[in-house]
Amino acid sequence: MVNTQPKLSIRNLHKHFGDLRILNGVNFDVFPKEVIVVIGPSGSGKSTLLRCINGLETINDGEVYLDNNQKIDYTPSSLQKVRQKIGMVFQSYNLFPHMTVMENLLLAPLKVQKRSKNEVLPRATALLEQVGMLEKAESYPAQLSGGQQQRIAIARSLVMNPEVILFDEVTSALDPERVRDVLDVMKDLAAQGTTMMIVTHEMGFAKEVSDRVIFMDQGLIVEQGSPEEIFNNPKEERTKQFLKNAM
Amino acid sequence: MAGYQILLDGLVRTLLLSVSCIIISLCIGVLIGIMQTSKQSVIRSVAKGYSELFRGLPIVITLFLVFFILPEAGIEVNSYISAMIGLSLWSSANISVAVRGAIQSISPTQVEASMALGLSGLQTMRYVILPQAFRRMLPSVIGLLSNLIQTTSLSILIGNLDLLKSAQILIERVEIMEGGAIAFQVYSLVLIVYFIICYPLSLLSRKMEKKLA
Amino acid sequence: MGLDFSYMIEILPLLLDGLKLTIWISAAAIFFSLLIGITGAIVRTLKVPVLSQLVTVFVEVIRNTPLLVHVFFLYFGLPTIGITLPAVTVGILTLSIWGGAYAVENFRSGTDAVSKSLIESGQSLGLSVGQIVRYIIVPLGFRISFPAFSNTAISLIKNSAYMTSIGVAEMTFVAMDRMAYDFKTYEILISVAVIYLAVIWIASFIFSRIERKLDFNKKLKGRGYSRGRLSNIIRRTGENTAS
Repeated sequence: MVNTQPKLSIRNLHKHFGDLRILNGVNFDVFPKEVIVVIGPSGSGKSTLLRCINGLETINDGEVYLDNNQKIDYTPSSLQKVRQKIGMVFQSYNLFPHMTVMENLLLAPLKVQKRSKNEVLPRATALLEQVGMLEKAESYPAQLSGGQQQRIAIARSLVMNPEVILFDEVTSALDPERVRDVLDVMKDLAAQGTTMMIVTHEMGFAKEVSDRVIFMDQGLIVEQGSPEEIFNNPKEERTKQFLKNAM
Repeated sequence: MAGYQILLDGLVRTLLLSVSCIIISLCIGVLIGIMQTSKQSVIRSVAKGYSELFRGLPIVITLFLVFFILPEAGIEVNSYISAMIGLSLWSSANISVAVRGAIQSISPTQVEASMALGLSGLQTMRYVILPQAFRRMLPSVIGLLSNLIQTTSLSILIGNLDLLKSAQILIERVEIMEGGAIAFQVYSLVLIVYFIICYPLSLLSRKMEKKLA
Repeated sequence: MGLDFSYMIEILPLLLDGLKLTIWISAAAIFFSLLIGITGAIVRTLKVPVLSQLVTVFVEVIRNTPLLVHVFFLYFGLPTIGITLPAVTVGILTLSIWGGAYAVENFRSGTDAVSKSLIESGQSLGLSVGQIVRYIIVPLGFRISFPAFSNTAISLIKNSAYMTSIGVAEMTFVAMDRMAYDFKTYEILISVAVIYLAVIWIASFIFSRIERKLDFNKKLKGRGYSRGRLSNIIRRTGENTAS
């Protein structure tokens, strides 16, 4: 366990859609450079958890703290600031189809962070290089495969220099043979010390890349621990059952 | 109060013209639409030519063509009949495109399934394709019918007497006989009457579209 | 009875002169419809209070009443309350209002088609509402709805012939005027019809070129424009996240 101040602290998070309770009081910390993988059956609230942290869903109760216990203010006026610090990559890539790859990367740094093109361009180029997509810089998203689009979506999130990146089932929509490319990019990031929170169904990858695994069910954290603990010696019956079906 | 009588007569004539055009253009439009999906290229080209021609020409020109050229060809038609023919040509061309689109949106597997059951081409169209296509084309066809009703007002350009023409007559009569200017009020009333007829149609069309989606 | 071709050639310059006004009125109306359409669509998509309702009323009233009545209302009705406008102004005004109402619907279907997940993606990058409208909803919505708008624009060209009813000397009026003198009904009407078809054909060609230019998938292996593909791509890149 990394022994410093947590980068992100989630306290008693509740979320419901009408009568449907999705999150029932979730608590955990994310430490700097840590890679957390969240697993659990579908409908367990994993994706909603990420969407709440990014402010895409309103939180019904509870708090999220960023950096030295600063409570995140999810009012519309400060959401923009929050999102510059917390990046997010989606299952469906969500690249802007009318912009080239490079334009997708440049939009937010130039327009939101007001950084200069001279500064952002080399960084964006380097990131495209890192995800192996530099030669596609002038292509449009529709000309690329799902795996390529997803690698660009990751680069688009990184170019903002976020403190944490949330990955919401980023390989679920990909062809099996493309999954590896995207996971490799994420592994690279983990090795470089990027703080990441990953929701995934790829158990092998989870085992390989994570520092800590969180198992969620019915809107609650059932069990968490190192990948060895969770995958080899799960304590809770529900975890065992889930892993038996998932592996 | 005779003024209202004039307008009412005009409204009746507008509605009569609208209903006859709706019936004719639906029949021809569906037929031409089906022909556009025919496997025989001659039938298909004739049907496509028909819809391209009458959708391409301004409706004003189509009305003039019918009104002036039919008599020269020895066919005597009055304003009302000319308007009916011209508007039906135009509207059926529009409807045919909606019909074609709806038919083509039905999955080809439906045809295969029908063939596998031994249905003939005509039976497939009648029992499988058209019933499905009908639901899909209804919203846009209703929209086109509302357009048709509005466009009947153009028939006054070839001398037909309808609601709009009655309004003109009424305005002129009042101006000459009583010296008052009532054009603003009368045309406002005409706008309201058309709105009352067409707005429910557009609501209906939208409701059906939502239902389909 | 044969057609008098020499007469048709003789009146051609006259008709083309009328065509100039037809094109000028249509171009102005297309331009203003575009402005009205985009502004109205943004107002409705953003659900700006009061304004949004006003746009809805405007669109419904215009779309559910005949263009010819709008023309008469402005040209013959407004003088009653002291507003007299020249016929050409009335022509451009009514066509712009009519086209604008249809264009609002055209563009709104485009801005609505910008999927929720793309907007979320913009939000998660920290874009403000204004920036999302400017960089995502408007450019993307415009591209999606341009084919629909081009239909409205073509209708505007055809409907400029309505202005013959208030004596605007566009091509139809010139033709009818000539017919009253020369009684060469066949020759004049067929000439006008052919010219209109040619103009509409050329305009459709220009619009389809613009559509292709706007299509961000145009470089895809040089294949032609297809609306189906465009919406497929929107759907694919915009599929909502489940669970």
